[in-house]
Amino acid sequence: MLFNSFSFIIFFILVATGYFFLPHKGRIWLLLIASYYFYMCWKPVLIVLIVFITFINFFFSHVIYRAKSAVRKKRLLVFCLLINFGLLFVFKYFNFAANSIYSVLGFFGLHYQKPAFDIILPMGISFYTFQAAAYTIDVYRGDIKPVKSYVIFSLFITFFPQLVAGPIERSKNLIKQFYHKHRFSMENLVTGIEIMLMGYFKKAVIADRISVAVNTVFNNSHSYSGLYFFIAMLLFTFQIYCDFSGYSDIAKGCAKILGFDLMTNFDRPFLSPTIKEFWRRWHISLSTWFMDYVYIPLGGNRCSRLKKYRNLFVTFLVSGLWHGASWTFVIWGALHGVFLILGDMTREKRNRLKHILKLDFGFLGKVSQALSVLITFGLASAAFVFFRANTVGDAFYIFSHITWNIRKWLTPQYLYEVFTNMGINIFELKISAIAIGVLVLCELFGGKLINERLKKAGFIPEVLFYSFIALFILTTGVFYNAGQFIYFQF
Amino acid sequence: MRDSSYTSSSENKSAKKRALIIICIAAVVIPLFLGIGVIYKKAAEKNTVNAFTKQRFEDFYALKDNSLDMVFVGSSHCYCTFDPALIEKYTGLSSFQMGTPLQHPDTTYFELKEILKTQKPKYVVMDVYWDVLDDNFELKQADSFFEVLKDKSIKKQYIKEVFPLSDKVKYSLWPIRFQQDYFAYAASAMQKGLQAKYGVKEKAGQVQQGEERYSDRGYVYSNQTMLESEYDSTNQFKNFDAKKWTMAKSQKKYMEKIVSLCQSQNISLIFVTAPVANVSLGYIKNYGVINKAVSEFAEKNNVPYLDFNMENRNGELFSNDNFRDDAHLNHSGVEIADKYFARWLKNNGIN
Repeated sequence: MLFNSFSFIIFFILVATGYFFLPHKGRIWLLLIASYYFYMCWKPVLIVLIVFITFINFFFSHVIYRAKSAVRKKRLLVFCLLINFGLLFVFKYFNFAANSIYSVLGFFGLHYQKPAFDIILPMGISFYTFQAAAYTIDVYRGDIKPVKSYVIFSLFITFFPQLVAGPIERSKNLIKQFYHKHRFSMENLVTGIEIMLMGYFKKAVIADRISVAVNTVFNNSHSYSGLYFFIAMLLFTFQIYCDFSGYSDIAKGCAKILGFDLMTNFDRPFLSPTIKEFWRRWHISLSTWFMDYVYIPLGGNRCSRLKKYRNLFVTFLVSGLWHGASWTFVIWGALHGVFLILGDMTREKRNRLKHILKLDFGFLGKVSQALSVLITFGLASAAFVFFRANTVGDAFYIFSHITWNIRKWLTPQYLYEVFTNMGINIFELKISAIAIGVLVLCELFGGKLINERLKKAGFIPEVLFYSFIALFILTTGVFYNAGQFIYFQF
Repeated sequence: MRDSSYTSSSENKSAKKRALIIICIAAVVIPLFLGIGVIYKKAAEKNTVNAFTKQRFEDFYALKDNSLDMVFVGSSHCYCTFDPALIEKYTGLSSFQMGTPLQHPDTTYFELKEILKTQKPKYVVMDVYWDVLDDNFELKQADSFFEVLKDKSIKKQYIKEVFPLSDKVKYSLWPIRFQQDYFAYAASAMQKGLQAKYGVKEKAGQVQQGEERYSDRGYVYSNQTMLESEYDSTNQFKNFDAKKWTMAKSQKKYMEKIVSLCQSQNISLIFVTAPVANVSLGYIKNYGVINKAVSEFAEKNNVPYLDFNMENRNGELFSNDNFRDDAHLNHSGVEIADKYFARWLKNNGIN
């Protein structure tokens, strides 16, 4: 069931209505059943996997908690993590690993019958596996006590607003909220609707519309060149942001209506002046997960510079692989690792240079800051080419042909040809550009929480703004063949 | 368990104020939404494909009762493949073309019910294009079909039985239902404006020469040839692998209903898969999976089946020049197809 479908809206209205009419115990059961149903609408049989992951982590968290010796605790944890990540490997990485080994051995002249399994990638497997694994690690570290109620733990793993694409919630934040009896609140309802509206705006108006142009160019990259690539690259940057942060907004809004506070997953990442800052604002729940469970255990930054850079690079390599079983994602992760390392290596010199040139305050400071934001956006967009390209070869082809015909880029004839040959009609392109403009203005002037800002601005601005957004969605959103969320595949 | 179910007068006041926000947003959005729906609907009336369907049904309703020997039903592949004038020339049968864009078997079933009210054809030729045998409900195709139906009870029954819940909602909301029509209309106007202002023109190879027009007895004539880009970048079949293709249960059910309906009326049903361009066929991987599934269904139900793509798999019948786009024949191709079809009917003892 997709968030951007009428079926989901009907489902959510029914669940939310039932939720506030039931006593607390009944509410937990209702949410659990609704969450299972929500997932089973896709492929019913794969619910078995979630039930299994739930059981394994519930069981091991208790056994680990009760274990007397540190060695036994550690062994149990390793065993539990092997099951979690073993399943993830089988469903997500097996064919990728088999193909890669086959290619490497083939390069050395060693050929064999390649094992290939027709495995369905269960929707959201990386999200719920990471959430469950983090919980067990937290119990092992003694940060939390294991949950006594199996039902509440099951709901923690399957809570439908964030089940298939996050945010990857931490047990400390979410579990305690399930014990709280949430009263119906008009404040929560209005805030939830406002957050959801922004999510639908990003998804239905921007992401789904421009996805057609992006797919047209990226799926036929050898038929295009020049400005087509440049525009497709920029459009994909907005597509992925709007798709994923749109999902997070809808998830957060739904949860808010029910009385739950999910963590913020995106905080205007394209306004970041550095790649380091970008990762503090992009997919925050995953970034912090990798920080807490990979980067810091590897030694973090409390070690030699070389080891720190190694830790950073490994963390981003793994993060790339988390996104998908393909070399394009690995390279994307590696690129960000390199950007961060280079950023760290040059930070002091850049700051000194800025100080000498007086670019660190006043008007010039602002210009310098804006330039940094643009460069960061450019680097993130360029890296996203690897994220979206069908193959590594396609990505290199795009980079080697992106400046083709650059002298003609601003001639009316060439612009007209590009705008009328990107798979969507020119009016749709115009609508998308306006919508992206609205989004950028919202992020520039709306602050971290635009709904809070508008609430402070007064009744009329709030009504006018959300009326405009609602009307934009209803009259220009994509409702035919609405697309799945990109991050579902992860 | 903690319970935060306390209230205070200031909270009540705040709650009322928040509720008022929702009411005000609705008060602003609803009238504007309805107004925009009217604008979108007007653009839809100018859509030429809808105009072809409208004309087709008007011509059909003007026919004398029981004047047809053969009726063609199915998707655009159908009305771009069978020309009743040529069929009459090659077989001597009077026929009519009732294909509509993206017509799925569920639509075909209801259309056939409407046809059989006034006509008793000996043959019904049903186009079986794999893309309409999926479970993706296409509101556009349904809409363009039943808006021209005379019998409103069939329309009601069709909406009730075929429309998924979400599409019932979309259908009732004009700005959603007619959005695509309006966007296409606005794009066309925008392009014309830019051409006039800057003297720009379509990219070489992007302008189709010739014409496409509603001809006669439901047939849509075209002397256009495929755009250059459809040989490669914009070919819709590029990367299409039929390995896992299956006929959707819902559409299979309606195909069975069509078989039963024809049997009950003593009508010979014939399945035909119209050809896609040679270059397109080259892109499709595992086409045999589709052919096998449809052939088995046809055999099980004792329906003769002609798959033009199998007949043309080595390019024996058509060349790419016989197509108006990557999936539809132009008139030069129609002449070859209809002649071949007439011979096939004869060779199989059907006519």
